Amino acid sequence: MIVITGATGFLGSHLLPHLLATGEPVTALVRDEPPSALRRLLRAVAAAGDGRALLDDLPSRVRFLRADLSAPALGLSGHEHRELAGAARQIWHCAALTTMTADPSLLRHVNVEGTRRVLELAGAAPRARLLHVSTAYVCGARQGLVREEDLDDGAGFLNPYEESKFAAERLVRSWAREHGRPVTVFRPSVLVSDRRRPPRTPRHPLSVLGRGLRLLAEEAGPPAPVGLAGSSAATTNLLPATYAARAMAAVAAAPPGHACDTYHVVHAVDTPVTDVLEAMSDVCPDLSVRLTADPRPLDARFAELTAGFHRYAASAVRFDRTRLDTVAPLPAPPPPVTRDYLRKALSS
Amino acid sequence: MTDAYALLTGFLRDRFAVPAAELTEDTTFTDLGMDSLDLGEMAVLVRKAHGLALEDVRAGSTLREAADRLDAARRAAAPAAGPGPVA
Repeated sequence: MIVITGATGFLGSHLLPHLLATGEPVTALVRDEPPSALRRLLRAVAAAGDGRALLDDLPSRVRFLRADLSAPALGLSGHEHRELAGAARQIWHCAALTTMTADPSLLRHVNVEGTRRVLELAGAAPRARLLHVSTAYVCGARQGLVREEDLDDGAGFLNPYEESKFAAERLVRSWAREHGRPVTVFRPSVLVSDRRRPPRTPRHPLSVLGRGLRLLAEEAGPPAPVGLAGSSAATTNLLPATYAARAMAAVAAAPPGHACDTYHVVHAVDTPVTDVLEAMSDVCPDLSVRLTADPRPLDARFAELTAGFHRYAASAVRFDRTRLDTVAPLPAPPPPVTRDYLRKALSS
Repeated sequence: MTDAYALLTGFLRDRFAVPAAELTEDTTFTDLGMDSLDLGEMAVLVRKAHGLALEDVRAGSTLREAADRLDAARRAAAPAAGPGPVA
Protein backbone atom coordinates (compact mmCIF):
# COMPACT_ATOMS: atom_id res chain seq x y z
CA MET A 1 0.00 0.00 0.00
CA ILE A 2 1.10 3.54 -0.76
CA VAL A 3 0.23 6.17 1.85
CA ILE A 4 0.19 9.82 0.81
CA THR A 5 -0.37 13.08 2.65
CA GLY A 6 -1.31 16.18 0.70
CA ALA A 7 -2.93 14.22 -2.17
CA THR A 8 -5.43 17.00 -2.86
CA GLY A 9 -2.72 19.67 -3.11
CA PHE A 10 -1.00 20.99 -6.22
CA LEU A 11 1.90 18.52 -6.26
CA GLY A 12 -0.14 15.66 -4.75
CA SER A 13 -2.75 15.83 -7.48
CA HIS A 14 0.00 15.62 -10.11
CA LEU A 15 1.67 12.70 -8.32
CA LEU A 16 -1.40 10.60 -7.62
CA PRO A 17 -1.84 9.22 -11.16
CA HIS A 18 1.77 7.98 -11.06
CA LEU A 19 1.22 6.30 -7.70
CA LEU A 20 -1.93 4.60 -8.99
CA ALA A 21 -0.03 3.47 -12.10
CA THR A 22 2.15 1.25 -9.88
CA GLY A 23 -0.94 -0.90 -9.27
CA GLU A 24 -0.59 -0.57 -5.48
CA PRO A 25 -3.61 0.45 -3.44
CA VAL A 26 -3.38 4.08 -2.28
CA THR A 27 -4.51 5.52 1.04
CA ALA A 28 -4.76 9.31 1.23
CA LEU A 29 -4.56 10.94 4.65
CA VAL A 30 -6.91 13.92 4.42
CA ARG A 31 -8.04 16.67 6.75
CA ASP A 32 -11.71 16.82 5.82
CA GLU A 33 -14.54 14.28 5.69
CA PRO A 34 -13.93 11.63 3.01
CA PRO A 35 -16.83 12.71 0.71
CA SER A 36 -15.55 16.29 0.73
CA ALA A 37 -11.95 15.08 0.25
CA LEU A 38 -13.02 12.98 -2.73
CA ARG A 39 -14.68 15.97 -4.40
CA ARG A 40 -11.58 18.06 -3.73
CA LEU A 41 -9.34 15.34 -5.15
CA LEU A 42 -11.46 14.85 -8.27
CA ARG A 43 -11.34 18.58 -9.00
CA ALA A 44 -7.59 18.73 -8.40
CA VAL A 45 -6.69 15.66 -10.50
CA ALA A 46 -8.92 16.83 -13.36
CA ALA A 47 -7.19 20.23 -13.24
CA ALA A 48 -3.70 18.67 -13.16
CA GLY A 49 -4.39 17.01 -16.51
CA ASP A 50 -2.25 13.87 -16.49
CA GLY A 51 -4.76 11.83 -14.50
CA ARG A 52 -8.00 12.62 -16.34
CA ALA A 53 -8.33 9.03 -17.57
CA LEU A 54 -8.34 7.85 -13.96
CA LEU A 55 -11.18 10.02 -12.74
CA ASP A 56 -13.87 7.36 -13.01
CA ASP A 57 -11.75 4.80 -11.14
CA LEU A 58 -10.47 7.17 -8.51
CA PRO A 59 -13.28 6.71 -5.95
CA SER A 60 -12.72 2.94 -5.89
CA ARG A 61 -8.91 3.05 -6.02
CA VAL A 62 -8.13 5.65 -3.37
CA ARG A 63 -9.07 5.08 0.24
CA PHE A 64 -9.47 8.22 2.33
CA LEU A 65 -8.55 8.29 5.97
CA ARG A 66 -9.34 11.43 7.92
CA ALA A 67 -6.23 12.46 9.82
CA ASP A 68 -4.78 15.38 11.74
CA LEU A 69 -1.13 15.58 10.75
CA SER A 70 0.00 17.40 13.85
CA ALA A 71 -1.93 15.29 16.39
CA PRO A 72 -0.49 12.30 18.26
CA ALA A 73 -0.73 9.18 16.07
CA LEU A 74 -2.01 11.50 13.28
CA GLY A 75 -5.35 11.63 15.11
CA LEU A 76 -6.00 8.00 14.12
CA SER A 77 -7.19 5.26 16.47
CA GLY A 78 -4.52 2.83 17.66
CA HIS A 79 -5.99 0.17 15.40
CA GLU A 80 -6.04 2.46 12.34
CA HIS A 81 -2.45 3.57 12.95
CA ARG A 82 -1.18 -0.03 13.35
CA GLU A 83 -3.09 -1.21 10.30
CA LEU A 84 -1.75 1.66 8.18
CA ALA A 85 1.83 1.14 9.38
CA GLY A 86 1.61 -2.61 8.81
CA ALA A 87 0.39 -2.30 5.23
CA ALA A 88 2.48 0.67 4.07
CA ARG A 89 5.26 0.03 1.52
CA GLN A 90 5.73 3.69 0.62
CA ILE A 91 4.85 6.78 2.64
CA TRP A 92 4.81 9.99 0.60
CA HIS A 93 4.75 13.11 2.75
CA CYS A 94 3.57 15.86 0.41
CA ALA A 95 1.33 17.85 2.76
CA ALA A 96 2.65 21.26 3.74
CA LEU A 97 1.53 24.80 4.35
CA THR A 98 3.22 26.60 1.45
CA THR A 99 2.11 30.19 2.12
CA MET A 100 5.50 31.82 2.53
CA THR A 101 4.20 34.64 4.69
CA ALA A 102 1.88 32.62 6.94
CA ASP A 103 2.19 32.91 10.70
CA PRO A 104 5.51 31.31 11.76
CA SER A 105 3.92 29.27 14.56
CA LEU A 106 1.30 27.89 12.16
CA LEU A 107 4.03 27.02 9.63
CA ARG A 108 5.97 25.19 12.34
CA HIS A 109 2.84 23.41 13.51
CA VAL A 110 1.91 22.10 10.07
CA ASN A 111 5.31 21.62 8.45
CA VAL A 112 7.54 20.60 11.37
CA GLU A 113 5.13 18.85 13.75
CA GLY A 114 3.34 17.28 10.78
CA THR A 115 6.64 15.81 9.60
CA ARG A 116 7.37 14.55 13.12
CA ARG A 117 4.05 12.65 13.13
CA VAL A 118 4.73 11.18 9.69
CA LEU A 119 8.15 10.03 10.93
CA GLU A 120 6.38 8.29 13.84
CA LEU A 121 4.21 6.46 11.32
CA ALA A 122 7.30 5.51 9.30
CA GLY A 123 8.97 4.32 12.51
CA ALA A 124 6.03 1.97 13.10
CA ALA A 125 6.17 0.81 9.46
CA PRO A 126 9.42 -1.15 9.11
CA ARG A 127 8.72 -2.24 5.53
CA ALA A 128 7.87 1.25 4.24
CA ARG A 129 10.11 3.58 2.29
CA LEU A 130 9.66 7.21 3.29
CA LEU A 131 9.59 9.82 0.52
CA HIS A 132 9.62 13.30 2.00
CA VAL A 133 8.80 16.35 -0.12
CA SER A 134 10.92 19.28 1.00
CA THR A 135 11.79 22.33 -1.12
CA ALA A 136 14.90 23.57 -2.88
CA TYR A 137 14.43 26.76 -0.86
CA VAL A 138 15.52 25.14 2.42
CA CYS A 139 18.76 26.85 1.34
CA GLY A 140 17.24 30.13 2.59
CA ALA A 141 19.16 33.26 1.64
CA ARG A 142 22.18 31.40 0.25
CA GLN A 143 23.57 32.57 -3.08
CA GLY A 144 25.56 30.63 -5.66
CA LEU A 145 25.47 26.87 -6.17
CA VAL A 146 23.68 24.68 -3.60
CA ARG A 147 24.39 20.96 -3.68
CA GLU A 148 21.88 18.25 -2.95
CA GLU A 149 23.65 17.10 0.22
CA ASP A 150 23.86 20.66 1.63
CA LEU A 151 21.60 21.57 4.53
CA ASP A 152 22.73 24.57 6.53
CA ASP A 153 21.06 27.67 7.86
CA GLY A 154 24.13 29.91 7.95
CA ALA A 155 22.70 32.44 5.49
CA GLY A 156 19.35 32.78 7.27
CA PHE A 157 15.96 32.54 5.59
CA LEU A 158 13.88 34.79 3.34
CA ASN A 159 10.63 33.83 5.08
CA PRO A 160 9.24 31.58 7.83
CA TYR A 161 8.09 29.01 5.25
CA GLU A 162 11.68 28.27 4.25
CA GLU A 163 12.69 28.01 7.90
CA SER A 164 9.90 25.54 8.69
CA LYS A 165 10.81 23.32 5.73
CA PHE A 166 14.47 23.45 6.76
CA ALA A 167 13.56 22.31 10.29
CA ALA A 168 11.39 19.52 8.86
CA GLU A 169 14.16 18.28 6.59
CA ARG A 170 16.61 18.29 9.47
CA LEU A 171 14.18 16.10 11.45
CA VAL A 172 14.00 13.68 8.52
CA ARG A 173 17.78 13.45 8.22
CA SER A 174 18.20 12.82 11.96
CA TRP A 175 15.50 10.16 11.86
CA ALA A 176 17.16 8.37 8.93
CA ARG A 177 20.49 8.36 10.78
CA GLU A 178 19.06 7.19 14.09
CA HIS A 179 16.89 4.45 12.59
CA GLY A 180 19.29 3.33 9.86
CA ARG A 181 16.44 3.58 7.38
CA PRO A 182 16.72 4.79 3.78
CA VAL A 183 14.78 7.97 3.09
CA THR A 184 14.24 9.80 -0.18
CA VAL A 185 14.04 13.59 0.09
CA PHE A 186 12.73 15.58 -2.86
CA ARG A 187 13.56 19.25 -3.11
CA PRO A 188 11.40 20.69 -5.86
CA SER A 189 11.92 24.29 -6.89
CA VAL A 190 8.88 26.46 -7.74
CA LEU A 191 6.33 24.08 -9.25
CA VAL A 192 4.08 25.71 -11.83
CA SER A 193 1.65 24.94 -14.62
CA ASP A 194 0.47 26.75 -17.74
CA ARG A 195 -2.88 24.92 -17.73
CA ARG A 196 -6.01 26.95 -17.19
CA ARG A 197 -6.98 26.61 -13.54
CA PRO A 198 -10.63 25.74 -12.92
CA PRO A 199 -12.24 27.36 -9.86
CA ARG A 200 -11.49 25.83 -6.47
CA THR A 201 -8.48 23.81 -7.50
CA PRO A 202 -4.97 24.08 -6.01
CA ARG A 203 -2.98 27.15 -6.96
CA HIS A 204 0.69 27.25 -7.84
CA PRO A 205 2.88 30.26 -6.95
CA LEU A 206 2.56 31.96 -10.37
CA SER A 207 -1.21 31.60 -10.17
CA VAL A 208 -1.11 33.27 -6.74
CA LEU A 209 1.15 36.00 -8.14
CA GLY A 210 -1.08 36.66 -11.15
CA ARG A 211 -4.27 36.73 -9.09
CA GLY A 212 -2.69 39.04 -6.51
CA LEU A 213 -1.55 41.35 -9.30
CA ARG A 214 -5.03 41.55 -10.82
CA LEU A 215 -6.60 42.25 -7.41
CA LEU A 216 -4.07 45.02 -6.83
CA ALA A 217 -4.90 46.53 -10.23
CA GLU A 218 -8.59 46.54 -9.22
CA GLU A 219 -7.77 48.25 -5.92
CA ALA A 220 -5.26 50.74 -7.34
CA GLY A 221 -7.62 52.21 -9.93
CA PRO A 222 -5.73 54.15 -12.61
CA PRO A 223 -2.59 52.59 -14.12
CA ALA A 224 0.16 52.62 -11.54
CA PRO A 225 3.78 51.55 -11.25
CA VAL A 226 4.76 49.01 -8.62
CA GLY A 227 8.32 48.74 -7.45
CA LEU A 228 10.22 45.69 -6.30
CA ALA A 229 13.54 45.87 -4.53
CA GLY A 230 15.65 43.49 -6.56
CA SER A 231 18.39 42.86 -9.07
CA SER A 232 18.21 42.67 -12.87
CA ALA A 233 20.57 39.67 -12.66
CA ALA A 234 18.26 37.71 -10.31
CA THR A 235 17.01 34.29 -11.37
CA THR A 236 14.40 31.90 -10.13
CA ASN A 237 13.89 28.20 -10.82
CA LEU A 238 10.44 27.38 -12.19
CA LEU A 239 9.55 23.79 -13.00
CA PRO A 240 6.38 22.43 -14.65
CA ALA A 241 4.69 20.23 -12.05
CA THR A 242 3.97 17.52 -14.63
CA TYR A 243 7.72 17.02 -15.05
CA ALA A 244 8.36 17.13 -11.29
CA ALA A 245 5.77 14.40 -10.66
CA ARG A 246 7.21 12.19 -13.40
CA ALA A 247 10.76 12.67 -12.11
CA MET A 248 9.74 11.84 -8.53
CA ALA A 249 7.90 8.73 -9.74
CA ALA A 250 11.05 7.68 -11.62
CA VAL A 251 13.13 8.05 -8.46
CA ALA A 252 10.56 6.07 -6.45
CA ALA A 253 10.56 3.27 -9.04
CA ALA A 254 14.26 2.58 -8.42
CA PRO A 255 15.38 0.88 -5.20
CA PRO A 256 16.27 3.30 -2.41
CA GLY A 257 19.85 3.95 -1.41
CA HIS A 258 21.14 3.10 2.04
CA ALA A 259 20.90 6.54 3.59
CA CYS A 260 19.06 9.80 3.20
CA ASP A 261 19.22 10.53 -0.54
CA THR A 262 18.26 14.06 -1.52
CA TYR A 263 17.24 15.10 -5.03
CA HIS A 264 16.98 18.66 -6.34
CA VAL A 265 13.89 18.35 -8.55
CA VAL A 266 14.61 21.52 -10.50
CA HIS A 267 14.69 22.85 -14.05
CA ALA A 268 18.12 22.60 -15.67
CA VAL A 269 17.63 26.18 -16.91
CA ASP A 270 16.90 29.04 -14.49
CA THR A 271 14.35 31.72 -15.37
CA PRO A 272 15.45 35.38 -15.18
CA VAL A 273 13.29 37.35 -12.75
CA THR A 274 13.10 40.10 -15.38
CA ASP A 275 11.25 37.62 -17.67
CA VAL A 276 8.69 37.09 -14.91
CA LEU A 277 8.28 40.86 -14.44
CA GLU A 278 7.79 41.39 -18.19
CA ALA A 279 5.18 38.63 -18.33
CA MET A 280 3.46 40.25 -15.34
CA SER A 281 3.21 43.51 -17.26
CA ASP A 282 1.86 41.58 -20.27
CA VAL A 283 -1.01 40.02 -18.29
CA CYS A 284 -1.72 43.11 -16.21
CA PRO A 285 -0.91 46.20 -18.31
CA ASP A 286 -2.49 48.50 -15.72
CA LEU A 287 0.37 47.79 -13.33
CA SER A 288 3.90 48.15 -14.51
CA VAL A 289 6.10 46.16 -12.14
CA ARG A 290 9.72 47.25 -12.17
CA LEU A 291 12.81 46.95 -10.05
CA THR A 292 13.38 49.90 -7.76
CA ALA A 293 15.48 50.96 -4.81
CA ASP A 294 12.66 53.10 -3.43
CA PRO A 295 9.61 50.99 -2.38
CA ARG A 296 6.35 52.87 -1.71
CA PRO A 297 3.00 51.98 -0.02
CA LEU A 298 1.53 50.31 -3.12
CA ASP A 299 4.63 48.13 -3.17
CA ALA A 300 3.91 46.90 0.37
CA ARG A 301 0.35 45.96 -0.63
CA PHE A 302 1.75 44.14 -3.66
CA ALA A 303 4.07 42.20 -1.35
CA GLU A 304 1.11 41.27 0.87
CA LEU A 305 -1.14 40.15 -2.00
CA THR A 306 1.55 38.12 -3.68
CA ALA A 307 2.59 36.20 -0.58
CA GLY A 308 6.23 37.17 -0.35
CA PHE A 309 7.28 36.77 -3.99
CA HIS A 310 9.15 40.08 -3.80
CA ARG A 311 11.84 38.59 -1.54
CA TYR A 312 13.06 36.49 -4.47
CA ALA A 313 13.60 39.43 -6.81
CA ALA A 314 17.23 39.63 -5.69
CA SER A 315 18.03 35.91 -5.58
CA ALA A 316 21.05 34.46 -7.38
CA VAL A 317 20.91 30.90 -6.06
CA ARG A 318 21.41 27.90 -8.34
CA PHE A 319 20.60 24.27 -7.60
CA ASP A 320 22.92 21.43 -8.52
CA ARG A 321 21.00 18.35 -9.76
CA THR A 322 23.80 15.82 -10.15
CA ARG A 323 22.00 13.08 -8.20
CA LEU A 324 18.71 13.62 -10.04
CA ASP A 325 20.56 13.26 -13.34
CA THR A 326 21.82 9.80 -12.33
CA VAL A 327 18.24 8.49 -12.22
CA ALA A 328 17.35 6.30 -15.19
CA PRO A 329 15.10 6.63 -16.97
CA LEU A 330 14.30 10.28 -16.24
CA PRO A 331 11.38 11.82 -18.15
CA ALA A 332 12.23 13.95 -21.19
CA PRO A 333 13.40 17.34 -19.91
CA PRO A 334 10.80 20.10 -19.78
CA PRO A 335 11.06 22.88 -22.38
CA PRO A 336 12.51 26.22 -21.24
CA VAL A 337 10.05 28.43 -19.37
CA THR A 338 9.27 31.00 -22.06
CA ARG A 339 7.51 34.32 -21.73
CA ASP A 340 4.41 32.76 -23.31
CA TYR A 341 4.47 29.98 -20.70
CA LEU A 342 4.83 32.60 -17.96
CA ARG A 343 1.87 34.59 -19.31
CA LYS A 344 -0.32 31.48 -19.29
CA ALA A 345 0.85 30.46 -15.81
CA LEU A 346 0.21 33.95 -14.40
CA SER A 347 -3.26 34.01 -15.99
CA SER A 348 -4.22 30.54 -14.75
CA MET B 1 -32.72 32.87 3.39
CA THR B 2 -31.86 36.56 2.92
CA ASP B 3 -31.30 38.43 -0.32
CA ALA B 4 -27.65 38.79 0.63
CA TYR B 5 -27.38 35.03 1.00
CA ALA B 6 -29.03 34.52 -2.40
CA LEU B 7 -26.62 37.01 -3.94
CA LEU B 8 -23.56 35.25 -2.49
CA THR B 9 -24.68 31.77 -3.45
CA GLY B 10 -25.47 33.07 -6.93
CA PHE B 11 -21.85 34.16 -7.36
CA LEU B 12 -20.62 30.88 -5.92
CA ARG B 13 -22.66 28.88 -8.43
CA ASP B 14 -21.97 31.07 -11.45
CA ARG B 15 -18.38 32.16 -10.93
CA PHE B 16 -16.90 29.45 -8.73
CA ALA B 17 -18.76 26.44 -10.18
CA VAL B 18 -20.13 25.31 -6.81
CA PRO B 19 -22.96 22.77 -7.19
CA ALA B 20 -26.12 23.94 -5.41
CA ALA B 21 -26.11 20.77 -3.29
CA GLU B 22 -22.89 21.90 -1.58
CA LEU B 23 -24.34 25.24 -0.48
CA THR B 24 -25.78 25.52 3.02
CA GLU B 25 -25.73 28.39 5.51
CA ASP B 26 -23.23 26.50 7.66
CA THR B 27 -20.83 25.75 4.79
CA THR B 28 -17.53 27.61 5.05
CA PHE B 29 -15.57 28.91 2.07
CA THR B 30 -12.79 26.49 3.05
CA ASP B 31 -15.30 23.61 2.79
CA LEU B 32 -15.87 24.69 -0.81
CA GLY B 33 -12.13 24.67 -1.55
CA MET B 34 -11.85 28.46 -1.67
CA ASP B 35 -8.98 30.57 -0.34
CA SER B 36 -8.33 34.19 0.55
CA LEU B 37 -7.59 35.12 -3.08
CA ASP B 38 -10.97 33.68 -4.10
CA LEU B 39 -12.54 35.85 -1.42
CA GLY B 40 -10.69 38.86 -2.82
CA GLU B 41 -12.17 38.07 -6.22
CA MET B 42 -15.61 37.65 -4.67
CA ALA B 43 -15.27 41.07 -3.00
CA VAL B 44 -14.42 42.64 -6.38
CA LEU B 45 -17.48 40.97 -7.97
CA VAL B 46 -19.79 42.18 -5.19
CA ARG B 47 -18.39 45.69 -5.36
CA LYS B 48 -18.70 45.91 -9.14
CA ALA B 49 -22.22 44.50 -9.25
CA HIS B 50 -23.70 46.18 -6.17
CA GLY B 51 -21.26 48.85 -4.96
CA LEU B 52 -20.94 47.09 -1.61
CA ALA B 53 -17.81 46.27 0.38
CA LEU B 54 -17.56 42.65 1.46
CA GLU B 55 -15.22 42.98 4.43
CA ASP B 56 -14.09 40.88 7.40
CA VAL B 57 -14.97 37.64 5.65
CA ARG B 58 -12.36 34.91 5.90
CA ALA B 59 -11.97 31.49 4.29
CA GLY B 60 -13.19 29.96 7.57
CA SER B 61 -16.37 32.10 7.61
CA THR B 62 -19.70 30.42 6.98
CA LEU B 63 -21.96 31.59 4.17
CA ARG B 64 -24.42 32.85 6.80
CA GLU B 65 -21.70 34.99 8.41
CA ALA B 66 -20.68 36.37 5.01
CA ALA B 67 -24.34 37.18 4.20
CA ASP B 68 -24.65 38.97 7.56
CA ARG B 69 -21.58 41.05 6.72
CA LEU B 70 -23.06 41.94 3.38
CA ASP B 71 -26.32 42.98 5.03
CA ALA B 72 -24.35 45.19 7.42
CA ALA B 73 -22.54 46.76 4.46
CA ARG B 74 -25.86 47.45 2.77
CA ARG B 75 -27.27 49.11 5.91
CA ALA B 76 -24.13 51.23 6.24
CA ALA B 77 -24.39 52.27 2.58
CA ALA B 78 -28.07 53.24 2.80
CA PRO B 79 -29.05 53.81 6.46
CA ALA B 80 -32.40 55.43 5.65
CA ALA B 81 -33.55 52.78 3.22
CA GLY B 82 -34.41 50.18 5.87
CA PRO B 83 -34.76 46.50 5.07
CA GLY B 84 -34.99 45.72 1.41
CA PRO B 85 -33.46 43.74 -1.38
CA VAL B 86 -29.73 43.98 -1.90
CA ALA B 87 -29.88 44.06 -5.66
